[in-house]
Amino acid sequence: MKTKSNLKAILFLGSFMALAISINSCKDPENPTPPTNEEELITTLKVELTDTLSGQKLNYFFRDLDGEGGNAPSQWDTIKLSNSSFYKVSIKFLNESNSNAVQDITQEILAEQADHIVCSTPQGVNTIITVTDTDGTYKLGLASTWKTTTPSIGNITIILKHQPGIKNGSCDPGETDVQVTFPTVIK
Amino acid sequence: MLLKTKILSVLLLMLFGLTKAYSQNYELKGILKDSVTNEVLAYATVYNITLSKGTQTIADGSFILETSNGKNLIKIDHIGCDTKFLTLNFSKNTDTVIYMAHHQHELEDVIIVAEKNKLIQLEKDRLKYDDIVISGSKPIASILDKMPGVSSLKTGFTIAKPMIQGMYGSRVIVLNNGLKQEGQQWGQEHGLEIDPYNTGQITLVKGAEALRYTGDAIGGILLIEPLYNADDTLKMSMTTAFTDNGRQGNLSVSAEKLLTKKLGLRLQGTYKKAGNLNTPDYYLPNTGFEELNGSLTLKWQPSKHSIFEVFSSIYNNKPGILSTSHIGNLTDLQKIIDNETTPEKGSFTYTIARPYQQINHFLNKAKWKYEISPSLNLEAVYGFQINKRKEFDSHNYFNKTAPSLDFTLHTHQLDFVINKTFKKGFFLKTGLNGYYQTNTYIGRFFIPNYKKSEVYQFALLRYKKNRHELEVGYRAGAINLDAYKWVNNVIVHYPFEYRGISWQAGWLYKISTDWQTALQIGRVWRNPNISEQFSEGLHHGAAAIEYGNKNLKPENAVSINGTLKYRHNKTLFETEVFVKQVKNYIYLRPKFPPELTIRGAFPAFEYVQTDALFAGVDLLLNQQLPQNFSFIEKVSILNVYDQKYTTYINGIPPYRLNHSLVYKMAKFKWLSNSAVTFSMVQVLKQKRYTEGSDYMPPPEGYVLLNAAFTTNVSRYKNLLVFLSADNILNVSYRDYLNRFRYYADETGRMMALGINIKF
Repeated sequence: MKTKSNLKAILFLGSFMALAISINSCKDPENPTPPTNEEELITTLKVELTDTLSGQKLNYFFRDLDGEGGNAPSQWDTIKLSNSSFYKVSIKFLNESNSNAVQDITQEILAEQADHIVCSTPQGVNTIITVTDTDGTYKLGLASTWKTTTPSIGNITIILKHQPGIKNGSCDPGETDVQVTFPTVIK
Repeated sequence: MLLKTKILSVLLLMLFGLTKAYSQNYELKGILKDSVTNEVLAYATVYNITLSKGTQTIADGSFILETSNGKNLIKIDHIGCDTKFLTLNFSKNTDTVIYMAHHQHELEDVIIVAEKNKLIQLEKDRLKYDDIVISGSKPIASILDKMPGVSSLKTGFTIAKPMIQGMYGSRVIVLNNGLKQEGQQWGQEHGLEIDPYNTGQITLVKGAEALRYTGDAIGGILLIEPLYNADDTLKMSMTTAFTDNGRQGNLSVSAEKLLTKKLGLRLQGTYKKAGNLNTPDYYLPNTGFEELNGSLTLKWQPSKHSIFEVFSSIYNNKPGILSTSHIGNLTDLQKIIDNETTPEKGSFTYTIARPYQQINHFLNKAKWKYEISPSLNLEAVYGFQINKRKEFDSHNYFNKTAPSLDFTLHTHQLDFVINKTFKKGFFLKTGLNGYYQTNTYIGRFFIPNYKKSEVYQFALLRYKKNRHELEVGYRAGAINLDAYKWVNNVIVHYPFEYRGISWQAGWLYKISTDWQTALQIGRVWRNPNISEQFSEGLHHGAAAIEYGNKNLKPENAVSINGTLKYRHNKTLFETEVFVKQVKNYIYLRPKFPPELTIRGAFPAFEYVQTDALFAGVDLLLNQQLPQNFSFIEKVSILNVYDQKYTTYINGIPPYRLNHSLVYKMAKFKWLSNSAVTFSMVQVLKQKRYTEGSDYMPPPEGYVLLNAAFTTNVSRYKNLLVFLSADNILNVSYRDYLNRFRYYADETGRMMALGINIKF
């Protein structure tokens, strides 16, 4: 009698363990090859300038291919401009963390333009920046014109803000996705 | 009959000499004894619910209780046992011996606590169901604030994890029904995946007891025991509660019954939903949550000597994260701190938007206990847990619905334990314990994947003689950790191996019937956790870049604590003085200069080691006053000293005092067992802070006024009503232990109304 109940007991425990193991084996945690963990990063800020008079094209970069932290930025250019010039400027955001599959984040910003704003602010350099694109209600900031006057040294800060439902034309609200200060020289 | 159905007693009872009735009050003279060892049980509370009169057993286990003619419902509380209810018939003065049979009520065995030989037994380290159920709207870790010395580390307003005497994270072990709760404990913003509505009791354990379960609980162990009370009648219970702040609604239901004489079943489920909370001045955007939990307990006793238990629980929670806390960079944070962006008034909604978390925890336990002889039993436990955690940052550019971070943690646990009682007062517990754990992630890197196996052997020995109780224990173990991650399209492995021994010794001395004192000394070690070793990257919501260190050495803590307990008539006084020296204490230190990233500049922190000394006092005083009033004082004091650097360690709980006045009414018209509690929570400012080591100095201290009212409606004896109000004065304040103190005030006045019905 006692042996019988013990046997039952062992069967009961055994079947429960079998159940637990079978639940577990649905997903094999032993799998040594985890997914490659593609991350959504903004690694690169590209400033494309076109001198409207000469047609000369200038590209300046900020690049940090492993994202925030880790290695220091690999490229951080000084923007060099000529005095008394007029530039058409286009700002691009890229994910270059995987060199085989560069992603253009600018397209995504355009697709969600009502939730984003790009602000470019000069400091100590004599240039006037005018945003030329809008999301229909407020300015967007991916396209602008930069009009330089006298030679000077300073910097230009470019900020990309995510402002879901709170966009009001100002750069204040929201979450900063990009903020880069480029040293700038006007000769 | 109603009383009988109310609550069970699976308890051996012997009554002698009951004869017939006179209509008057009688005396019940009794002695409470352990049915196995025949030892008397001192300091048990014996309470006659029918008459609302109570007493305590004294050192020789005896008590005298007033009873009325006829049926009396008697409640017996003994530390180390669940509350017991007995319905007894009286018709004259009665002498009795009540045996509490520990091996017989094994069906309710709740791990350590059932081993009533537990050395250190302080009321301050226990929270009972009554305390838990009325606070069931809160996350479980926030309820623990009621214990002196325990605080909760919060991330926002719905995520909390426990902190014991300044220790948190991997230094605090939570045992959920005997299994080590395995979530992503390393993270501050990872709450505890346990449903308070299924919790019968919470006990804080330190010392040798803990070695049965773990050797790395530098802070201590929190035992969380689920409810289980199945007997012959079907018992159902329903708890609902509603809060005004956050407009939270909770519903928890349970049903339990012995299906056959040998097989008991309990089923339980909870649903909670809450919307945006508000401070006295504004709504906290995106602070709602939704939670759905369920559990199943099955206990099968095929013979007198054998018990099987299966416990399965599932916890699903989706908490919103205060949206203003997901800031882009330090400039944004500084703006919020300097109050340049005044918080908008906001509005109420139940909608949970990004950023939010989604957590699923599945816990499974199978336990078999077999009694070879009354003095020898064996225990085997298998545990299996899956913890899934998804974190959704405020937005993704490409895969818009995917989580930004997705962890899956699997844990297997196997225990074999032998309990042996020897003659002459010796008791031995020894066994083996193994874990196997895997963690994988998808998305943003924070910690690598890993596989970890652990093997332990432990033994503890207790000895009781006269007024002395001694206890020694050790736990030896080895840990193998293989962390791996992708580096340039190749999987790189980082193997680690740790070995070590933890030990504890304790001595309890009963000075007199009123006084007892205990001393515990021990050394425990803890291996660095995966985030301390590997974290690398931006911590969203903390605006900090954190760096782990693969070369960290294990922490080694030597602790001494002394306790003193006084209990006499209307006074209970307990105090604990502790000193812990933690060699190689691991913590985050600011690293200069700040790091430049495409998002702007961020302060950087790195995990470093120092030697830290934790010293403090916890205190509980419960003084019954005339006119059914009583005064309860709880004090927690802690100082931490960095023994290597001249700076202070951040994040240490400030001094905390809780003064309460309780008024009890046995009967008032149709209400019974009513209690009104007014309490004043006083938290001082943390002054032990190094200027510049945090974005914001610790907030000012604060005083909150809380009140609670609980009552049983006598016409429906099984209806418990509770009403509470926290922060009655609607004070604006910030709490140092809330990581979101940078962004927003704490919640304002919160009223909760709830009922618990048993049928």
